[in-house]
Amino acid sequence: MERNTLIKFGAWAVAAILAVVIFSNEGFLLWLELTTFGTFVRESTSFFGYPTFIVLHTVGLSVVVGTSTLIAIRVLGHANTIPLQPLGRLFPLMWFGFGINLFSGSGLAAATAVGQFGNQIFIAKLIFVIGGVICMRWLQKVLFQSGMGEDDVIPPIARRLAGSLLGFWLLAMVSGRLIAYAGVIIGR
Amino acid sequence: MNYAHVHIILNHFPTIGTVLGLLLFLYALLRKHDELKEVSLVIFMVMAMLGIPTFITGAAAESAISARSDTVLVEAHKDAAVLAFVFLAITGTFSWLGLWQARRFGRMATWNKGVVLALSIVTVVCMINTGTMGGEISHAEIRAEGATAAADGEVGLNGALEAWVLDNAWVWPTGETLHFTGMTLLFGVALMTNLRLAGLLRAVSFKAMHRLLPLGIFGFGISLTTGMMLFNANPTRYIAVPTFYLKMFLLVVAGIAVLYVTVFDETWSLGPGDDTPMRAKAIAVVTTAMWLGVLYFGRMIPFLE
Repeated sequence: MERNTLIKFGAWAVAAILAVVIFSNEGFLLWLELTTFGTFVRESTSFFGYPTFIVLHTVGLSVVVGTSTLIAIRVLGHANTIPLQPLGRLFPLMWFGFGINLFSGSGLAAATAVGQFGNQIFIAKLIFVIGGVICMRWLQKVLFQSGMGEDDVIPPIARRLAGSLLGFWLLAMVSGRLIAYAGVIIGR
Repeated sequence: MNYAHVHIILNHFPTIGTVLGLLLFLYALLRKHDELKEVSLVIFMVMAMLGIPTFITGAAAESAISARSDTVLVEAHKDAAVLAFVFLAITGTFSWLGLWQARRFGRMATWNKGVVLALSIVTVVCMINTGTMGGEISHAEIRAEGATAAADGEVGLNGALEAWVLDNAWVWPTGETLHFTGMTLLFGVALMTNLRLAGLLRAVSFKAMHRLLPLGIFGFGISLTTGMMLFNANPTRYIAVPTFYLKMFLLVVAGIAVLYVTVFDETWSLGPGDDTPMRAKAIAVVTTAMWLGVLYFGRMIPFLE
């Protein structure tokens, strides 16, 4: 493994450990809930409060998951008359959709941070989303930023990433939807 | 005018439409007339889409006459309506598939002709039965003798479905999860095909994009099945929310607009690099806005109850 890659992995590992430490601190989560952002999303009666964040989350999800799912399906061999390289132009749109979800998801999580980060289903969803995003970015690099041509054979790693992406999105959607039913499922 | 009026107006369309569609389909099969065959498939698909608001306004109509004593007729009509709607939706789906096959392969698959024929015959029988029962609710003069007699303790199809959804804790969350999953697939396909029509993915021919359409219809099927299942279990929750009707209106119009990308020459003939006509661009923008509207109004339902 190259030195730069090792440094990058190390940095990500440290960031992940820090995130776990910070988001398992109840004092921090309580502070998060009481920030202007968290309070606004939770308590505002305005049109731009909780319902708008929920709607934005649904729209962002549909854009990023819907589009990347089709690209993954294409990489796996379905609809192979669609040329692959032009689909690279969809990635900015997908990242835009992910940006919407990051913003709206942060608002929804901050609004009830103590409850959310103590909910195993929510944590599982976060892990699946992170897995999906890593696969999406990796797929983008392998297929569209490595100088690959239209006639080149799709590398096996791209197929594995596409399959993993589909799996992660499916699990993220299932767990995301089930957060609201944590009371029935895990008694929270 | 209330939703009971709308139901009375709407319910004639799928009933008469499927009968006309079947007659036309039979004629087209006998005469081996491909264009007429496609027209009848379009009729089946449009009737299936119109079946959605008909079913929904039926629940609103039931609510409007809930004070009446002859609920036996209403319950029997609902049972028949559920069955008719299921067959209508399946017929519409296979009809759409026939149109897609005709566009892609030059003709509808032989096996699908048989499937659509069989399904449409069953649908017509179910629709006529439902229509007759619906008529008997308000027209005492056409009721069969003993039609209002209650069947002791008998739970119909509708009641059984409702109980299955509400009495099993896992059904509602599973239904919602599948509803979201189907919707995401549908939206992804709609977005990608509309982006091509809008000119963003010009390097891709529309023929290639056309192969994605069954995935979108599959997603639509999942969402429709689960959506109607959840609606049917607790209709009073939904019919009281005005934006629910807006969602369903946009869904039906955007659903029918799928015909444009399925069968029209204007889209099919778009090769790699071809610019799209202004009409196609306008339709792409409008239908994308409609699907976003479906997402918006659907997600707002819990907040407007």
